[in-house]
Amino acid sequence: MWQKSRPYILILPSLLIIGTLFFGGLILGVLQSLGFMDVEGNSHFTINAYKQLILSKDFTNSLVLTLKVALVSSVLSGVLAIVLIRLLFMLGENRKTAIFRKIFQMPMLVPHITAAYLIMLLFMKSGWLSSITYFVGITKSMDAFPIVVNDPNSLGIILTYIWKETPFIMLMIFPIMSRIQDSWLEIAQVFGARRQEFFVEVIFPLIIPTWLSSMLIVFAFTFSDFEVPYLLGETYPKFISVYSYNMYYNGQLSDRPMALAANFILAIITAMIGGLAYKLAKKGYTKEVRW
Amino acid sequence: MKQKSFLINLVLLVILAMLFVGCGKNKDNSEKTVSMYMWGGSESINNYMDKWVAPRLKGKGIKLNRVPVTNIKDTINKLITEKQVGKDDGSVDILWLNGENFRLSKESKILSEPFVDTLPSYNKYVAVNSPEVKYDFGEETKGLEAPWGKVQFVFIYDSEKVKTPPKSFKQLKIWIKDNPGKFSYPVSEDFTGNAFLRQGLFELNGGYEKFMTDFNEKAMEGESKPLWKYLNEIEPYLWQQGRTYPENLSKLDKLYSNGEVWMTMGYDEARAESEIKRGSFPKSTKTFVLDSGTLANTHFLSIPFNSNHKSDAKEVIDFLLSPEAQIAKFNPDNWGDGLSIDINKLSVEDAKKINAIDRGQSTLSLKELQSHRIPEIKADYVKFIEKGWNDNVAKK
Amino acid sequence: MKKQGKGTYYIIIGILLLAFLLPFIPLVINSFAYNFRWPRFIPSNVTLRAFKYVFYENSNTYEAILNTLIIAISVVVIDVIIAVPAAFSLVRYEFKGKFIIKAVLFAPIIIPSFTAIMGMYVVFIRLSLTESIYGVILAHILPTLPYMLKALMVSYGTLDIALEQQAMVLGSGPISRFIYISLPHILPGIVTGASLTFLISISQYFLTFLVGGGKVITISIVMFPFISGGDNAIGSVYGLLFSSLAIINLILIDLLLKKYYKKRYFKII
Repeated sequence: MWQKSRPYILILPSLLIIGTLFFGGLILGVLQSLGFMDVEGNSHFTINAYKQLILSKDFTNSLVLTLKVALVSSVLSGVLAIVLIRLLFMLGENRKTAIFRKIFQMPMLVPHITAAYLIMLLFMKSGWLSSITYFVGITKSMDAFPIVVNDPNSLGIILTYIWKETPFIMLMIFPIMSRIQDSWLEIAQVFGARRQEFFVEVIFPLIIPTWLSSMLIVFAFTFSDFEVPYLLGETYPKFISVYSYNMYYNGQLSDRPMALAANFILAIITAMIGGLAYKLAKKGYTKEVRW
Repeated sequence: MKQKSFLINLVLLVILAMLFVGCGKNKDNSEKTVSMYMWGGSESINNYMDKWVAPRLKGKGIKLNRVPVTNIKDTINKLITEKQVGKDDGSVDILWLNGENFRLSKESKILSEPFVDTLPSYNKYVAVNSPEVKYDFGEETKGLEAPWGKVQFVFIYDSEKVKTPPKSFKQLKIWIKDNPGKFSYPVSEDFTGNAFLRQGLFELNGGYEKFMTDFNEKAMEGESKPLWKYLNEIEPYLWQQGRTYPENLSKLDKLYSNGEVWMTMGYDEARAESEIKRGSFPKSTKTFVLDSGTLANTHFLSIPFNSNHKSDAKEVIDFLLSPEAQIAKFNPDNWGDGLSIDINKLSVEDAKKINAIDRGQSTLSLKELQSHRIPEIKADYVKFIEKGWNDNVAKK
Repeated sequence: MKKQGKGTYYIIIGILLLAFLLPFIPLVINSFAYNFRWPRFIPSNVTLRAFKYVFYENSNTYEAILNTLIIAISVVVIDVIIAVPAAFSLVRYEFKGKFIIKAVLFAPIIIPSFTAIMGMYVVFIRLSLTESIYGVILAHILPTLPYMLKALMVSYGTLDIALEQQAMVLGSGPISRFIYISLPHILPGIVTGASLTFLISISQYFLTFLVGGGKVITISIVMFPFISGGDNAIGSVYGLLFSSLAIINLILIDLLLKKYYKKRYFKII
C-alpha cells in the first residue's frame, strides 16, 4: 500500500499548492464571474457578465488588438532567433561567439517593466535616439521623429517583446543544437557537408518543433502580459490584461464579475495555446529520439 | 560535500531572515506606529513627510509609516472589501483623500466615527464654519475628515516657447491649433484630467453656477455636448494627434519635462517651483490661471473603520494641522501646499512667517490666486464626465 | 570565399549586437544626468544626485532590496523542498492521472498567475495574507515552481537508476541514498532551477502589487512610479540596481556550476 501511494505522496505538496492556489483561484474567479459571492455576499447564477463582455465593443477590440500584437511579437522573435542562431553557428564555436551569445542573452537580465522603460527612453519623440537623429541631421525637429511608443500600431510594445523574448527562444533551442552538433557535425563534415548545408538540412528540421513550441509560449506570454502594455500602450483600445485590471480597480464594484470573466476567457485561450505547444514539443522529442 | 554545507547554510540563513521579518512585523504593531496611505507620486510631498514630519513625530514617540500609493482609490476598494469580509484589524491608519473618493468612503461606511472636534488644532485654528471645510465636493464632511491643505488648479507652461499664454478655453483652442502636437491632458480617470474637463464644461456652459445644484443626468446629457464637441475639435491638434492620452499626470509632466509638450497642469499652485528646483522642469516654467477662475479645493485626512491605532492617528493628524506643520508645508522648500488653517486665527508671529515665505517666481501671488477661485461641484459630475469622456472622445 | 563570407556574417552580427545593447545605453547615461533633455544626447550635467537619492536619502530602497531578497530566497527554498520529491516521482514512476497532474503542475507557465490571484483575492484578505510578505511569497511560488520542476526533472532524468539500486543492495536506506547519490547528482538542476526562480521572483511587479497592495515594498514596486512618470535619473538608477542583482545571480550560478562540473570531471577520471 505504501509503495502504491508513494508517487502520489511525493507529489502531494507541490500539487496541493498549485492545485489550491492556482486552480482554486481560477475557480473562485469563475464563480465570481458567474454571480456567486458577489459584492453584497449574495449568490445567484447569472451569465450576465459574459453577455455584457461579448456584447461590449471595448472587450472585443481589446481581444483583437492583444491577439494581433502577440502574434506579431512571437513570430518576429522566432524569426530573429533563428537568424541569430544560424549566424552564430556559421561563425563557429569559439571564444568570440561565446561572448556574442552571452550578449544576446543580456535582455533577460532586466524585468519587463524596465525593458518597457528602456524602449521608452530610446524611442520617445523627446528620447535619446531622437536627440541623435537631430544631431546628425536626419530629423529637423522633435516632431519629425516617428511615433514609436504609445502609438496606434503598438510598435514600442512589439519592440520590447522582441528584445526580451528572442533570447528566451534562443535559450530553448541552444541545448538541442549543441546535442546535434556534438553528435553529428563532425561526421557530416567527413562526408563533405559544409556548415551551411548542415544547418539547413540537419539542424533546422530538428529544431522546428522546439522553435514552434517556444514561439507559442512567447505568444501565450505576450498575450497575457500586463506591465508592458500598461506603460507603452494607448488609451484605447487597451490590452486585455490592462482592460481587466482597469475594470477591477477603477470600475464600480459591480464591474468586478466582468473583469473576472475577462480573466477566465484569457485563461482559456492561453490554456489552449499551451496544449498546442505541448503537442508540438512532444512531436519534436520523438523526432529527435528517432535520430 | 561542500555543496551540502552551502545549501544547509543557505536554508538556515533564510529561516533566520524569515524569523527576523516576522519579529519585525510584530514589533510594528506594538510600538506606536501609524500607517499613512497617501499618493506617492511627488518627491516634494514625500520629502516633506519623510524629512520634516516623521522625525518630529518620532520625537513624540510615534513612528510614521508612509505608504506610497499610485491611486488612493485602490486603498479604498481594499477597505471596502475588508468591510465586506468583516476584517477588523486593518493596516491603514490614516487616509489622504477628497472628492469622489471621500464620497465613496462615506457611502461605503469605511470611515471611523467623526473625530475632528476632538483635535485641539482643529478647534483652535480651522475656520470650522467655512464651506471649504464643511463641504468636500459638495458632500458634507460631518466631521469624518480633517482638512489638511488647500490647492488651486493652475496651468503650467514654458515661457520660452509660449509667449502669451491663453486665458480661457476659447483662447486655448486657438493656441492648440497654432501649435499642433504641443498640448495634451490626462485621461478622465485621472484626478487632474477630470478637473481639466470640468473647467471646460463650466466655460462652455456660461459658468460654474449652473452645476452647483444636485446632479441631474438628463440635464447633463445636454450640457456635456458642447464639451465633447470642443474636445473632438481640438483632438487632431493634440499630442499624438489625440490618438492617445497620458494615462496620468506624472506622464504628462514627463512629456512636459522632456519638451514634447509645452504645457502641463495640476492642482498645487506651487508645484512648478519645486520641480524647477529639482531640475525636472525647465527654468523658464511659469503658471497661469483662467480669467474665469480655476478650481480650488481642500484635501483631507481621515481614519478608516478598522484602524488599530486610532488615538495615535488622531495625534498625528492633530500635529499635521498645527501652525508649525502647516507653515513648513506652505514653504516651497518643502512642499508648497496651501494652508488649511485660517491665517486670521494664528498668532502675529506666525502670520508674519507666512507672509514672508517666497513661493518662487513661477507661483502666482496669493492675491491673484484667490481672486480666481471657483468651488468644486458634486462628485456625481466627476463620475459622469469620466465615463462620458471615454464614450465620446477617447474612442473617437 | 570562406573568409569573405565570414566577414559579412561578422558585420551583420555586429549590427545586431549593437541593437541588443542599445537600450542599455540611455539607462546608464540617464542615471548620471541632471536637467537632461532633448536635443542633448550626452548630459551636460553629470552628477551622482540620483544615486544619492536612491541609496542615501530614500529609506524605501534598502527595505525594497531586503524584501526582494527575502522573498526570492524563501521562494527558492520552498520550491526546492516541494519540487525535489515531485520531480523524482514524475521521472521515476508511472501512475494513474500522471498526465493530468503534470498539466496542473505546469499550467502556470502558460496561464498567467494574475488570473488566479485576482480570483483568490477575497480569500487572501480573509486569511490576512494581503499586504503581508508571506502572501507575496506564496503568490510567487506559482510562476516559479514549474520551472524548478522542469530543471529538476531534467537532472533526475540523467541519474542512472542502477546507481540507486546498487546502493540499495549494499544496504543503504532511502534517506542516505538520497543524500549521497541523488542529491549530488541533481545539484545542477537545483542550481539552474534556483537561478530561474530567483530571476522570476525579483522581476514580479503585478503579482507583488496585487497581493502586497503596495505595502510590501520590492525593487519593482519602488521602481514603477518613476517609470510611468517622474524622474528619469532615479528610474534609471533603480533599473541599474535591478540589473546588478540579476547579474550577481547569474555569476554566482555560473561559478557554482563550473565548480561542480570540475569536481565531477575529476571524479570520473
